[in-house]
Amino acid sequence: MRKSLFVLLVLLAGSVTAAPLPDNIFFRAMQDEMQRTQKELRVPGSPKPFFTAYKIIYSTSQNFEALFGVPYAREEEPKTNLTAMGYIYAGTARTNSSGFDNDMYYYRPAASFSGPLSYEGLRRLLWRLTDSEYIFASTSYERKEAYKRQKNIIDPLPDFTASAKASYVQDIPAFPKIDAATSQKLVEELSALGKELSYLEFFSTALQFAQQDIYFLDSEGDFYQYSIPLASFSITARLRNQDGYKENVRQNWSLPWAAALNQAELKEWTEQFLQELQDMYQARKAEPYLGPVLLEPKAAGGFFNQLFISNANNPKPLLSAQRETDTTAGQFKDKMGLRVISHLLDVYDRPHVREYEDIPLQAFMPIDDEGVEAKELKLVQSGKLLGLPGSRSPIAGQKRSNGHARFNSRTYPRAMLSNVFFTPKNPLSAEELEQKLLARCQELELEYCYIFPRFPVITGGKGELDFAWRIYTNDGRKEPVYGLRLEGVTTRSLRDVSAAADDMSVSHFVDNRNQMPFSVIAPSVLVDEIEILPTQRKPDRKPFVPLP
Amino acid sequence: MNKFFSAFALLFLAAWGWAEPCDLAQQTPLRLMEQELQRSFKILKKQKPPIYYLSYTYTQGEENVLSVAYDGVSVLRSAPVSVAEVLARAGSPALDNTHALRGEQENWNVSMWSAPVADAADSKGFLAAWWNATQQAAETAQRDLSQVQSNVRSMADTRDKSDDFVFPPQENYCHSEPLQNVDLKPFVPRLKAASRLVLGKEYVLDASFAISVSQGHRYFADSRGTLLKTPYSFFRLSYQISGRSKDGLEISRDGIYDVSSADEFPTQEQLVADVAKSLSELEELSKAPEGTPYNAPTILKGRAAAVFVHEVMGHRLEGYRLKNADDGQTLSGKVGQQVISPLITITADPTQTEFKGEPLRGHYEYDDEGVKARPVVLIENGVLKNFLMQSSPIEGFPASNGHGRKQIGRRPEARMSVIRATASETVPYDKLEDMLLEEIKKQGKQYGFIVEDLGGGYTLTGTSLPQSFKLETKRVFKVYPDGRKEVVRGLDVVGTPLVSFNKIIAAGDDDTLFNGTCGASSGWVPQSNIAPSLLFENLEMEKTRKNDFKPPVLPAPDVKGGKK
Repeated sequence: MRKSLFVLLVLLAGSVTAAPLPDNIFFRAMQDEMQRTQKELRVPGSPKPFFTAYKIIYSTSQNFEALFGVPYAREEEPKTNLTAMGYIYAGTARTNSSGFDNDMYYYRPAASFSGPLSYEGLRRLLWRLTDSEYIFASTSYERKEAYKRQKNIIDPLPDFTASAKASYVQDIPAFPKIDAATSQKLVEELSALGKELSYLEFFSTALQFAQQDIYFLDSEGDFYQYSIPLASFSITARLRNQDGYKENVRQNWSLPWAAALNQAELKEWTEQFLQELQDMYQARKAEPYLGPVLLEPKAAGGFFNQLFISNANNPKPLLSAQRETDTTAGQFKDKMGLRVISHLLDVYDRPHVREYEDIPLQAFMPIDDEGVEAKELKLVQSGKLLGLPGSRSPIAGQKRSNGHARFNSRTYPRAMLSNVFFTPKNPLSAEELEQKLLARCQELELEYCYIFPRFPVITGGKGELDFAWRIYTNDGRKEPVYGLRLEGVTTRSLRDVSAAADDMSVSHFVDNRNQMPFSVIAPSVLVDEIEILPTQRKPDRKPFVPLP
Repeated sequence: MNKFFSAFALLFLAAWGWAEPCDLAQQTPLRLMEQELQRSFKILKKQKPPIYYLSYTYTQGEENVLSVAYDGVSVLRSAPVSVAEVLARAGSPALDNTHALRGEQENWNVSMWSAPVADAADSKGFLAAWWNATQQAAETAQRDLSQVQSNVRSMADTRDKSDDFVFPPQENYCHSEPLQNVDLKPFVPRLKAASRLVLGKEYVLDASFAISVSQGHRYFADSRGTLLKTPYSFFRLSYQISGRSKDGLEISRDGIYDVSSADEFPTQEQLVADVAKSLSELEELSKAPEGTPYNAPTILKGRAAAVFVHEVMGHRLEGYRLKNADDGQTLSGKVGQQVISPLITITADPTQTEFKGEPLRGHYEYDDEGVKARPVVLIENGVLKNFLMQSSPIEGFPASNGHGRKQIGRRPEARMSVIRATASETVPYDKLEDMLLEEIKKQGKQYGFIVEDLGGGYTLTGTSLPQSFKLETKRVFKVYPDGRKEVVRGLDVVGTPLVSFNKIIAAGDDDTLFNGTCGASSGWVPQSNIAPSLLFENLEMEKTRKNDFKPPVLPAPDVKGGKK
């Protein structure tokens, strides 16, 4: 049933077929500048450009926000922004400038320009962009060749492989007229609920609507045009708990596009969040713990994003004259066929899927950023790694691209995941999963176990979590806890998933290093062992002045 | 004298138009700010160390921006501004958290929060913003004071032992102006028409045309009982057109129009004519030979002279610098002495609203510490008389003269307002050029310079670097003894302040205004500079820094031969 739904969504959205190039100023400007680039852009003595790609993103957004029932003055009209970005590979398909970063800074020198919405303006943006990219590519080519000679690197694989022509065209809808008065009134009403908790220092609610219209063209004639709508509701709160610890909390809910104002649902989320804040206020400090933890869907999303996705991304390390190791290359590149995650999970990347249960997926891409059709990729079956994202820059064992090259203003195309589905085998209901947690606690003779509603940012295996639930083994009673310091959370923890529920839910993430968006669709999971220590943070003194 | 003030009052009213009735008691934001400030201060002043002074500033208004390039709109936006800022002073006026820290540490910022609408009936949101900002400001002030105390104990003594703060006099003032209804859409065709002129010009690398409007009110309350409401309003149309020579030299021309309302912006005809002139100057520059370093008699024409006065002398007249041990303190101990050419007088007058019909961006009624603005004579006939002062005294200058200024988020420091250089004797500009030729011949120089435009620059005031300045010329002519002029590019004016200002030998009668925005430690502040053309016995020119890159390999797509 789910599979047929995906197919239906893809068909509805558009299809990867030989569509004609849309007649609009974006494609006219990209096509005209690209033809000139391929034909005329040369620096004597330097390699010529052999592959060029442009992407133009036209973004529109409108936000509404209120603090304790009082609105912030709002912008009457939606905001818009036009950004052009691109890249050039100089050299030949056999050997070119791709995959080399001289200093491993992981930023691009002149990768994007903001500019005006006119044909002449777009041409000028693309002209400046192309020139700086070409100079950068020529330099990279020379440095890469010198490095390969120095290290005696002879790669039997070409730097860039051929691919079938691909195109995808979705009619770009106009940014919908948002009912500003209703949206504003709603955030005011919801943020006013924060007044009920006298110790809240800050409580604001916000509704955000955004649409990104994306246009792509490469020098082999591949192109795409589509828009990604995103709507969300967020709450930002601040309090000092009873022990004096400052807690800044932000919760974000993705909403179905253009149906953001399901007022009853938003109110329910706000009330649930207020309940959590109340619990956070009364919470007790964590104590040392080693045992099973139940990750609710959002926590599971964070867990998988940090431990799985970042290690599956970038399987081909960059070459660099300055550093021998590319720390951005995921660890899974050497683990093909090995068990990387619990046998209870299958993992798929579905870049071509636009939404899940009405929630738009932010990494949707029917065609990747090297002009290859983006197909479903089976990454893991029964815990074993079967595939990795691939680009037109091949690696041993994966000579053809599977349509996962992604680029933006911060990174050249690298093989990356997009919308990653963690599908459990024989899932339990959420209640059964909690029972299983309690049973495991009993088995381990623990007084209590943990339930995480969120998952912290993990750096070097460690992370600080502001809030979690203790669940007591004897009676199932739940008690709020703050100040958890997680230790030893590594890819090993992925194999410790011992059960999963059927409550698949969408979480959105943006990669810190290069701001690339990902969506994770994951259920609650039970991780058999996580080590928790109390935080080393110190409490703050009471505020000088009582709250107004 | 009385006559002067009456004339000033008339001018003032004319500039603001019809003010709205303004009663402090009716200003909801101010009433709520005062309520929260007094409630907090009662408790904060009893802390250890005490918060002995607290001020709240609320900036409420709107910003409209239109940006156009190459016949297309890049930005068309209207955004509200609603910012709460809290400045807390911990310790005592003798030594507080704002004391200049020696070394690399900085304590320049104030606590800043976005504020929701001030609603008397439902004030929780507005008050919560102030409470958060106050809490943060008090904590930061106490922490900074510890740093200051440790810094004072461990670092060498400073020469100026003045207190860190003097309480500003209590003021109550209410001035409200209705915000002008600004719709920038009708200006799109005007800017687009101007932007189309650059298409097809091979020497243009980049161009932008913009209108920015910023207007609103600033509310100020402090723990001494001062309550102020004052309006602000800036309307500006500007453009910049730039290019790059094959040897990597950046060249540019620009145009700036500061007006009082949107209907005073230049007409399409005027704008197009000005842009055409700028393009012709840019083309001339693109073909001009590169200048070589040379020391020769030089005229800085009006706008260039105004920038010169600002950069080279203005910053050295900012009083707080004399307390900073890391500052060069060029004018320290020189009050009553002749420091520059006796021909020149320099004043600062933020009360001045316009010059030759153009609004002055450096005008304000009260400074950012709630001190009433007033005119100040800084240098009179070359003799140093006064400094630009905030509420932080220096030796011999115990009180503020209304020049504590800052950008949102920063702590006020003494900054320039409307700086004007006047000369005791002036000559018509043509005569000044004749005097230049005479000076070139007298000194036996091959040529002299006329600097028509300076693009800005910087002046070094720290002790770790020479007390020098470097100003980027945007349009400079070599002038030969026979009167021939030749545009050259790639030269900067360099020198040291006391030497350069003493080389002024004559001034024109062509006082010219340069409205700008100046960046320094208390952030970016709008200000104005007025000066006549100045003839220098000599000024030194040196080469400009060049870009590492050549112009793009292919010509612009809209240039002949550039289309596919």
